[in-house]
Amino acid sequence: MVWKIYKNILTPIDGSVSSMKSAERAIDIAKKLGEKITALYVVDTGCAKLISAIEGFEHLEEESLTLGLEKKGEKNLEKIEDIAKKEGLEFKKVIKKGDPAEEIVKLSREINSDLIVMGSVGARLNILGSVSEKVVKNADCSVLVVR
Amino acid sequence: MFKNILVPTDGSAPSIKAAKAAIGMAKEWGGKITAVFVADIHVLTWIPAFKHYKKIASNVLIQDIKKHGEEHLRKIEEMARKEGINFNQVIREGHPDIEIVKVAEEINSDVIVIGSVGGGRASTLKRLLGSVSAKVVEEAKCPVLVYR
Repeated sequence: MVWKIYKNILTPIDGSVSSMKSAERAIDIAKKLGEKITALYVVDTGCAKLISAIEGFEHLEEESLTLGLEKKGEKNLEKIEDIAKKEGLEFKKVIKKGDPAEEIVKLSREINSDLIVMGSVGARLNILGSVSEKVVKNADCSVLVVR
Repeated sequence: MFKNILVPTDGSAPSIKAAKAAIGMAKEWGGKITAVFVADIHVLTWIPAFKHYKKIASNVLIQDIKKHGEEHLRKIEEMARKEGINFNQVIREGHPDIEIVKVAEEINSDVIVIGSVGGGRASTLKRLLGSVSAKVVEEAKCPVLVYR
């Protein structure tokens, strides 16, 4: 039996503590079983729209919220990059805008990833189901949900 | 890394694939495997006629389904033994997702490796109801690897 080594791991982060932890886990797995790791941050445009529509929050414009999220994403991606580089892994970072679950599944197909490693908390507010649930249902590759 | 691995099985092709992967991981990380089969007769209670003879039939049915499960477990046991992996098995009755999560807590597993039909291949009905794997991902307290 040949154990399939994960060659191409995708780890989405959303800036929450759990997602940063899962990214570290992804690096740990990549170090042992894989070669390449891609970290993805999705600027949740739906979220920005929602916040700017709340009464009392009108002064927060959608564009500035999006920009703020983007900056946060860049910062978090750099943190993960530092850890990955220290481990000597091939690392790539990607920022996308849109619906997190959709963008995660889309990118995993584009880069042909064989494993997605992601956290499970941080999205409980989403009444349509968490991001991880949507990714588990729609991805073509294996998904490791860490806690 | 993950040493105490729980593998739920229903005998389907994706679950066998997941079991193979789990055995590979156990070998890689020096771990052990626990395979669990859950006999689920709740699906049958959706059929109106089944309600009338449920009491008589369910015992016979459960035994039958369990026997089926034992066969699936034996296959996984053989694969594990061949690779020299420490193997345990559990058979339960009830809702698969609930029992899988319970067993994971009882044996304090590090990871659940579960098979799943993914992406565009899952049927619309399954997407609407939510698959066992999606429910396990939501409810389990340990990491879950949905294997494809």
